[in-house]
Amino acid sequence: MIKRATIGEKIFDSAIYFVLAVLFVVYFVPLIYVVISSVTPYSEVARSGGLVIIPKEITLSAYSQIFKQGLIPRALGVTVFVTVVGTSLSMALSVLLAYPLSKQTLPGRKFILQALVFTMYFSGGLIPTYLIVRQMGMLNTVWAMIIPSVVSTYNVMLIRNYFQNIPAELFEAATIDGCGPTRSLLSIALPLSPPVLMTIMLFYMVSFWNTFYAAIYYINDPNLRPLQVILRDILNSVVGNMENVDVNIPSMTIQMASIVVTSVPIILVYPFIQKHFTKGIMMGAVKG
Amino acid sequence: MNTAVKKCIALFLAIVATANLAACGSDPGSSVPDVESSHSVASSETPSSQAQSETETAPSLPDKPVDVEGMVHISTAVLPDKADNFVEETIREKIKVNLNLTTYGTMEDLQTNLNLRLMSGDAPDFFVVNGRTNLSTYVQEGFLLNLGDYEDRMPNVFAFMGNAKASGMIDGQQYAIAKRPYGFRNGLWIRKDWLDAHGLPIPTTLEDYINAIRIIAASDPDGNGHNDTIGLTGIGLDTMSQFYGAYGVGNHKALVLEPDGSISSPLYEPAFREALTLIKSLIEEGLIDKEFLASNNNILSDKFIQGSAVSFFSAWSALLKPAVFDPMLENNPGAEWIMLDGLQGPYDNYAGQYDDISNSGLYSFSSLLEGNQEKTEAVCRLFDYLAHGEGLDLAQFGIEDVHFTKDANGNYNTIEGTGSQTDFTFIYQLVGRDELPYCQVKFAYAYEEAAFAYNRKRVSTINSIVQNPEWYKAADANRYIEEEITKFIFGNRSLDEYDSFLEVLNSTYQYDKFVQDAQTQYKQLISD
Repeated sequence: MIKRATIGEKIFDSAIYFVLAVLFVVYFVPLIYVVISSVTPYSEVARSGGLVIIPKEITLSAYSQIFKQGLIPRALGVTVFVTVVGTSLSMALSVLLAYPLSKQTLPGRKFILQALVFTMYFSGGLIPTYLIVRQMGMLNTVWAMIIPSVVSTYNVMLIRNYFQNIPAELFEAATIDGCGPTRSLLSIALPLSPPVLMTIMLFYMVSFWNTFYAAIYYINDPNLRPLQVILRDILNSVVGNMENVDVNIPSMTIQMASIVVTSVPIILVYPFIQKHFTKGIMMGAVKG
Repeated sequence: MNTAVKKCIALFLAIVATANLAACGSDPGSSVPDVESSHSVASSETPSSQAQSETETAPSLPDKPVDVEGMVHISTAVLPDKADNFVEETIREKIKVNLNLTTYGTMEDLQTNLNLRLMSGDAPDFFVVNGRTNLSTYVQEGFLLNLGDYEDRMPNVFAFMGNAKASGMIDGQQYAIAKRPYGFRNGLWIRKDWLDAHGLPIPTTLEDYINAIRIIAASDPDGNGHNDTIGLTGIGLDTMSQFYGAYGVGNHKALVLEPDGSISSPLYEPAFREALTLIKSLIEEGLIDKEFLASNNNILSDKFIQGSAVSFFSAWSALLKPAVFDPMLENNPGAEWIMLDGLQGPYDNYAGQYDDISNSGLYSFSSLLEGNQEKTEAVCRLFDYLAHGEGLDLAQFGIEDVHFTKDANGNYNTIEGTGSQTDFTFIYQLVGRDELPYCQVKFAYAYEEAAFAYNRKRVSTINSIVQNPEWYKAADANRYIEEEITKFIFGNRSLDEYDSFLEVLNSTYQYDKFVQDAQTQYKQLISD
């Protein structure tokens, strides 16, 4: 028998829906504003005091200008490369580090864990890191945006905790059937861990997609600058170069179109990973 | 597989991954493929017949171009692809310098990276220095080459710098090439079509100007049915420059060069206090935009495009850019803007203040060049090339007979249809340019206003050459001055307390001592 909701419960539910609706508007309006501004002629945006809800005229000229110039497509290529290769390397290395650490039998496990945690509290510092990157010949290569941040200790700990929660009996049974450690990882641990793997993958993807400081520190070649640096350049050039008569400042529609181009690809990834997201974090975080 | 083997495999996996973490300090890393080797250096120095026509000490050119890296502050979006960069190609051909520019969209990014590279002993060959305070610090740290030792290699640079040269000096030594300033550009703009509609003449006095913006703003000139047109707007306290000028004084932070060669601060002038009284009354009346202190270029251009103010205080270069002016015209058909000359006030008619000995960029050479004669020569050659004749033409207008022609009188004319190809050449104006002839060719649409603005009478300041003494906390003093001036003009502090403001400024921030120090520095500089 289905229990009817009481008045209190109905009011409570309505309040929740109301709060969610308000939050939806708060988060959605800026996004939709950016998209609408990017397809509205600038003169119309300015005439309306900067806020256009339904444009009278729609133009994709800002997008065509962006792609014609070649700067953003090139930066998009760099960012996609850094994200795809970086995420793949990060996932492989993180799993390879997390799996053995999830085994109680690993010799020196405690020391390795302490060494890992140490890196979460103390960093090597900017200049030593720069010197290492330079010494390794990574300056002015895409690898400088990938290798120095290829493994996140925090993410390794989440994966390790998740692996630890997989019943040991499964691995024991596999070992009896002749599975080695590699096979156990590939055939048992990984197939049982999509939630945490997808979640961590998303973390890495977003982090690589937003690569900014690594590019500022290590990349001098304008052709290797990633999207976020170019976007900041475009947005900043309005304020920084207004009085520099030589610089053709990008119009507001181009600025907004740039934001759309740099943000939408990574936003589109979320819906595909969302179902794993909460579960992955929770299960990795609680050691059972 | 036995347990011991399994343990070893697990340990190996863990060690491999941990090694990745350890390799890069805070951020883990791993070995990577080699990068292409850079900085190929020419091996021989064969004299070349392509001598510089205007220098007597024509240096010999190496067979192969020498790699030179420069770090400059300009949006990445401006630079063309290497293949289309005819400026770098010409420089490579003519003076055998393979120029690689590292560009940063903001000065903050540039400085972060520059500091990092200076500390790491990996400085670029030449770079932009963010202001004299940093210049002084870098000199103390020994990061910069004393350019005075290379004056004979760059005679054209030293000649071209003109008055700006002093702002690249520290303790009497030339540590930076001071790029020529852009010239006086700021001023009050007013809608001439609105003046005409009300039968008002172009204001020449402060009183006329205030009356005009008062009458026009009250008349709902945009006809939107709301009394929402602002009288005057601008960015920050500088918006009031022309008011101060009418009272014969400079702005709150100005170090004014008096006709007798002495240095003074307007803050101590009774006329400055009178100007504050007037500004306060205009703000109270609602004639001045209440948001002007929080405004920026973006906000200002939006207001300009919307046509929301009768008058703007701005540089001509900010308002007349096609990216701003064209949408403004689209929104305000028939709008006609004119820049005002100095307004005659109670004591004078200065159109504002300007630092004629300032610069539009400081370029220093890395001290790492010392000992590398070939590269040092190459950097000197580059700067000298860009400071005269063909090189200066290249950085200003492109290639002769491709992008521009020069007539018998030396006048430049752009070749039709090539304008957009030379949009980026300004990046290579490392020593500056001849401002007005340059504007005449490149920005013909605004030349009249540029020339008008350039030549107006102004208060002359020397802020750009003053080094802040160690005991003077410039940031704190400037913040105090701005906060208190803001309080005075917005009525949050009575102007009767102006004397106590000065007392605190002198006792706590030692501002009077700082002005005296500036005087000493200026005297020292002109004696050098």
